[in-house]
Amino acid sequence: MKRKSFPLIALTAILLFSFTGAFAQNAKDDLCKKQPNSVPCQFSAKFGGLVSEIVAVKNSGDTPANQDTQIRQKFSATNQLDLIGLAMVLATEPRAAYVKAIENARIDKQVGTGSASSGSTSLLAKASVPSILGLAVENGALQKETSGTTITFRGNPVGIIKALGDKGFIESYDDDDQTTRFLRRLSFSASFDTDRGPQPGTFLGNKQQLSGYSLHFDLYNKRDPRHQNYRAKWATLISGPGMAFTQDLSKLKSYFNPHTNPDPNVLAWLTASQDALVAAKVGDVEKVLEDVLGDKLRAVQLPQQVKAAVESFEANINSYLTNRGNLLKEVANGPIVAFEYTNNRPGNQPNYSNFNLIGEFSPFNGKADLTANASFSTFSTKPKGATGSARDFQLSGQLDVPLGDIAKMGPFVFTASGKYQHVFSDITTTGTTPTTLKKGNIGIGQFKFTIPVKGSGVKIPLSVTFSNRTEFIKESKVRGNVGITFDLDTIFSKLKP
Amino acid sequence: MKKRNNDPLDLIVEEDEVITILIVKSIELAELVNFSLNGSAFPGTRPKSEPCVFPIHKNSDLAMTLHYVANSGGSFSVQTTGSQGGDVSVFTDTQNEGEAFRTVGYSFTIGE
Repeated sequence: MKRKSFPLIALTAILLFSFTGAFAQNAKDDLCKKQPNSVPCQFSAKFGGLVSEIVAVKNSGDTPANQDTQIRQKFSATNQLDLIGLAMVLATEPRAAYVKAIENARIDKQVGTGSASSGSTSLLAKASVPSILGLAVENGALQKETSGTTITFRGNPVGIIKALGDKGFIESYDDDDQTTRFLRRLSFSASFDTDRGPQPGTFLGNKQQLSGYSLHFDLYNKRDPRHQNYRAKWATLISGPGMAFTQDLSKLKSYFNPHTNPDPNVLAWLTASQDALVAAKVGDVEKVLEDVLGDKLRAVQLPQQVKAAVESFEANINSYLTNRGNLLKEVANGPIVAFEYTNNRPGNQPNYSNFNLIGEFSPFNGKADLTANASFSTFSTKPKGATGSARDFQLSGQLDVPLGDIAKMGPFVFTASGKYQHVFSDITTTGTTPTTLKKGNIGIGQFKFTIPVKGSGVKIPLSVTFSNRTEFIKESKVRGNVGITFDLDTIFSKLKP
Repeated sequence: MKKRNNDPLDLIVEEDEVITILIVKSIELAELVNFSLNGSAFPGTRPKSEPCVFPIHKNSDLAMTLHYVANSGGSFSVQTTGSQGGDVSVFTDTQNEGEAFRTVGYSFTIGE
């Protein structure tokens, strides 16, 4: 059947020099982002948060007495019971483990700062709509992405409710009730092309700059960790190792409490640590905290009963984190089926609506990723010369198979993808160099093998692409092809001080 | 119940006062919460939607663990009250990137 469908296939080779940096990747990928379920990574996450909190107190302009009280409360055995427990576990291991955890915390902080600054509204102050959108972005109700001259805002009703809850506009909020579960399945986006209109390069947020909007609804989503299929597994995790390490931390806490079961050595360490943090200059908070939770804590002589509590906590927290990691991995591999409506307003061709059914699966026990789309598009207004309102119909699929870390170079990936499109009428773009997408059938397929180059951030994809249509591709014969993909984020991350 | 130095986690209570802990805001949290009083399995693992109620007979340490179901975007508020009236303690926190759980401790000290 396929051979008959493509009698004129002129297998076409494409040389790909695609500098499509893998933006999802960054320095943190190498550390804790992909596998946060370990003691060092949990320590680094909490450490970075505490540094920010103490710095915020010191920068608050509050009276020295109030700052003193707040810092002691922030670094207390009540507020930081989990961080202190994790630090005590790391203190029982070789010093290198602690140093590594601190390095992780530093890189986490750099990444966080970068994303926060990109959310600034300084570019969004020209008109009322941008201001409102900017306010929504700053408060976490919307997400903003910029690609070239296009700014896209994404959000969902739950995100907006969450942002209101964070700001105290809602007294009581649980994101796991029936209504919220339903609303979580809905999301929307709007894109604006800032090159359009009387002031190119300036975001006005008006109808002329609106280049598209979409609505997305998850028909079936097993990648939601709250899905009923995972409830029993969460219950087992929390009531088992979760409860066990909570008991360990409750025991540990008593050694810091002068009224229950105090240990003079850990109490002295806590008081000295609080004194050091109160006295620290803003720029030294991280260094002081690193010292008190590292070398200073390591030097404390712990009685046997405290050591036993730490050992028990270490065993239980490791069990908890391993099982949690496995559960979240299972969640990440769950299938999704979604429907998406997009209204495209490209500017140089007639506006059209797209109805897309999307499926994502992880077959072979999560060892591969399969994505499939089936979509149908109609013109918003039938263009001159078109036989009807139907624009095109598309079917596409992509299978990614990670082949593992061969020779410790990094993950090799094999990808097979294909797309079939039927265009109902000729579509001609306007502008200085008009092009025409002729009506008829289009078939495109590609096989790709991506090879990482160890430690360089460079990935080399070997690919073969074939199509039955050649108006956008000049080559007409099959050739072997080599393309190079540079993962620029990874390279830049290595240049960071 | 009274907060010492306005600290929501350091609480002065009457002997045999009954404490109620309620999660009033929950974002990206698992359905269950762990509570351990003085290292025991009591009050235990409880649904977050239900108040956790227990008496305090002596100076005590409570550990409470809330579990995040994702690696970012979580936050919560916990309200604590005592049967003898007095202060209402509210502890609020936001998930750090990659943080799997949050355990906070409460100190309950019989009236000073």
